[in-house]
Amino acid sequence: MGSTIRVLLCLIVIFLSSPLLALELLQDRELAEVTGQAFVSVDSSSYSEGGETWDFRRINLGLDIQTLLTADELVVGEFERSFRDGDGTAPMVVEGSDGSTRTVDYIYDENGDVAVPSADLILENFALGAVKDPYSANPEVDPFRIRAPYIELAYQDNDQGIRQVVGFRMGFGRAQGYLSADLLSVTGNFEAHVVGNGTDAYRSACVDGNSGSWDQCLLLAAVQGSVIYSPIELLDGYTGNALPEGTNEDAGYIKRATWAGVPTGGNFSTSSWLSGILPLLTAKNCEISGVKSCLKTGIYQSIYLGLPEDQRPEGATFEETSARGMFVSLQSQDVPWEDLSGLSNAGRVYTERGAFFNSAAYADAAGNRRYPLTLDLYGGLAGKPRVATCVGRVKGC
Amino acid sequence: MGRFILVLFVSLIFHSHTFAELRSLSEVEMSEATGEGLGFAFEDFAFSTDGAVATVTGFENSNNEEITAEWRQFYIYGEGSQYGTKPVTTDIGSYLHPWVFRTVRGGSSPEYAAFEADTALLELKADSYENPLQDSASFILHNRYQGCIWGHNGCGEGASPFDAVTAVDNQIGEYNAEYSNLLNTYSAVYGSQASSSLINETEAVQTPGGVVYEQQLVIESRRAELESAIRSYENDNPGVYAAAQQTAGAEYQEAIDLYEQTDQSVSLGDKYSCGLFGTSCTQEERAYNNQIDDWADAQDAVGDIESNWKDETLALSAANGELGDILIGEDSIDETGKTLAQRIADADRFQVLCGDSATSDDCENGLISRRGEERGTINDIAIAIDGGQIRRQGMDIGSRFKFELVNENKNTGEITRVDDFLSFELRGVYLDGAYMRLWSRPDESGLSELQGELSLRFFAKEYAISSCGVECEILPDDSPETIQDKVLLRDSTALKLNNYLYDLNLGYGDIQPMTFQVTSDGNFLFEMDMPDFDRTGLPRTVENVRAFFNDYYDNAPKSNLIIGQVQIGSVPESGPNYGDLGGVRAVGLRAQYLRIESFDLN
Repeated sequence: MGSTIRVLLCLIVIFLSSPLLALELLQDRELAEVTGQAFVSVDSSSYSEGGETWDFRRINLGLDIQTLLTADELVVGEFERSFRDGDGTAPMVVEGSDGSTRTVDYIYDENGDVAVPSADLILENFALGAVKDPYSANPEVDPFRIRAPYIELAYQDNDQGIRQVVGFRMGFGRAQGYLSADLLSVTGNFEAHVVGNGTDAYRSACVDGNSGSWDQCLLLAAVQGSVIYSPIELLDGYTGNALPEGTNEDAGYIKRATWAGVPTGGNFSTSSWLSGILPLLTAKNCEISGVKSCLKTGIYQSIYLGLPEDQRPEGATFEETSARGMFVSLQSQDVPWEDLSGLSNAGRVYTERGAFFNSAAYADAAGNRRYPLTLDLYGGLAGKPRVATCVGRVKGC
Repeated sequence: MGRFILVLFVSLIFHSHTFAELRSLSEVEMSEATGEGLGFAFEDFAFSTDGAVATVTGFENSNNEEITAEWRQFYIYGEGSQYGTKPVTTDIGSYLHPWVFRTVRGGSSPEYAAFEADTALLELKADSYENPLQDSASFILHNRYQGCIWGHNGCGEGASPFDAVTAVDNQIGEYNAEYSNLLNTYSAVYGSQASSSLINETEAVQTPGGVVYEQQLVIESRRAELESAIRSYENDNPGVYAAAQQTAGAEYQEAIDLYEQTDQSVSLGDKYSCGLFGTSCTQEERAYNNQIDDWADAQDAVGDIESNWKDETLALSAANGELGDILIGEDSIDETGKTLAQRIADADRFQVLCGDSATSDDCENGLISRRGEERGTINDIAIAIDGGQIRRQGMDIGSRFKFELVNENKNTGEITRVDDFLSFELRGVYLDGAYMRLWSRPDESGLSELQGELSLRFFAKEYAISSCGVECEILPDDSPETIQDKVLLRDSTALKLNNYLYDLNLGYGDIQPMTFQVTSDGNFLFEMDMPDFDRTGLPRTVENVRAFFNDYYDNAPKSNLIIGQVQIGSVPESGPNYGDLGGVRAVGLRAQYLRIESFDLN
């Protein structure tokens, strides 16, 4: 009807004119200073190693994003892999105890094969950001901040010399805030720092338990009050090894891990004069001096990337307190992505066919190595509780 | 701009009502108008730039060196155009399912319930379908459970469309079993109030006064003390700690490099045994052994510095340990036999499975309920397919670009200029159900502000991204055989995203509108604030705030990005398909808060 057109035209005029009310005139001088704002730039590079060459095209976005974002599930790289197929696919295992020591068994699928997760990355109840005071009448957003996100394509020539896309990654130039998820399957770098003290090690190995021999206990008694620390990484929950049984030599890392910890052979560092006790604190069969050193990834519910607000020096800028180097990638073959963590020895992040999540150590503004997640050796068994990402409940909204 | 050939067969169909008769309306009639709007459709539509080239300048790399882009091809054809080489026509909307441009009053139907009655909306909406088989968002849901990767064809010979129903039934069965297990565990202690009691208990320990909350405050305080001690050292000794770490990192890298030159018969970090006089080692092994000493010295230097904040580290460790005791210590186990950490996880799971209804011991609006609703849609589609119904054809949309870039060789540092080609081609595209709504509201300063809501539903059977260069460039005088060869070459080297659904929903009526501003320095600001409870006019109590957010969580649309299969190159005729990278899903995305501001990279 005619009324429709009239109402429509009126509304168009109203809507178009409304935003004009807030516009301010610019002086000629101000106007002269306004140039095209380059919020997109494109970097091109090539890299050769082992007789192969890759080309990279990175699209940098000049965007400053603050968000509280939730998702029911994120799944990347949902394709066929199987345990002992050589690429390092981790088995799914069930943990138990015979009363004194850890027992572990494979989980089998309906075909009688050892079960593995269905995808390289499975993150349920994913969230960026958090809600402060979620149960109060005044909940507030604690946003996740991303600056300068980028997307990057990797190319390589195929056998006929035709250029082909072989990988894609999406990353954050800088990021700060809570990242939460139920980590049901993880492939990539999941680096954390575990810190403990000699007192707890002594108590666990020599008082509450008896895993330490008399000479080891003598040494541990002498180092009570000392700080011990180690990086932790993804591992095979069945053996406690960094790579599962049947992994080929050319496979560089574990796929579809559901466990993390100090892998077999890994040990703790401490200050120099205590180095004699380190062999006692070496992980073996998922234990370090009587303490479990293999933990389900699912218990790490929230990670804070960057420096939390209460730890930042007064006046510190986002550039000084944010984390670098985080990305998610998907590639059809080996791709050496440039390491953007800022660490002095940063070179390439070597990825293989499938998905890859890089949450690794990075350099802070002073050049210090920082980890996205710091755990206590003994308290760390409880994992990292999730921060609330909804109002009135922790997750599931 | 070069020659621009527009092949356009348009039949513009306006709703018959709209043109019926134009006459003046009285004020009373005007106030009753809800706005039926304009309906339009483009039937037998085809569009191609056909050789025209647009050059885009102004792009730069990170070193402020200019790069150029040429937009060399753009086409919109019907499905089956074979990378735009065959001018197949398509329909954008139809007489029965037109695109609509109209005004709507807030609250006039359930679809506009998130708008207040005094809101007048301007809406542009793509074609929409009641039949779930024709509704792309519903159709891809069936595809996902069916395991399809290319419309119906990917579902496999002899597969039943009801396989998807079985799959979703199995998933609902698993969720229900999980819910029953939780209920059995906790009803033994809490009786009929199992989920509500558990949620109340775990909420109490995580709120002010609760043991977990208070211990987390202690940890935060200890962590701040540790950071302060480190900063204090760094202020007194600028750069010393970082330099020691960098030295340790460099020594470690050197150790790795030397280790790779040995036979690697010892673990990295262990030394080779060189005998009493050091003669039973190779020169490389001795060099590696020496480097291990240097690395250890460098680590010791870092350790010595870190001993300056040993007390603070130990205090933090002790506080973490106490939280561990609270969460998983022996004392944390209650009558259910579960630790507090397990009970918190179970309370969270109750709410994931049952939504906020778990707080009243029901299971009505969580994952179980959502999957149940999806099951109905999936079943309807299975019945339709089983009855012989087919989906309408989509569009083919493609663009091809040529870039001249500044390339850095990361091995040698050499800088060269290189040409790049990139094609984006979508086959079988559907936009049905997409809409944009605009309206006006006063902002904080009382000035009118343009607000909006966007639902972009974009489904493509295949999204092909190709970087094939001049070999794939189709030239005007190419023969049909040459064109066919180039099409096949492009296809065999492309990155393909099969069954690609991009279902983006931004904004939720007056409750969470999106706003867009351009600042005086030429940057833009896009914002979607946290839903504003105060708009309800109700007293700000815990109960009212929760009810408001529960309503938002239950009704505000979520976004989805679903790729049925990522395939690089063509599928080999025999042997393993290493180009298959499987599915990618980001399901149920929601921005409760979003603020995007652009800045100048250079």
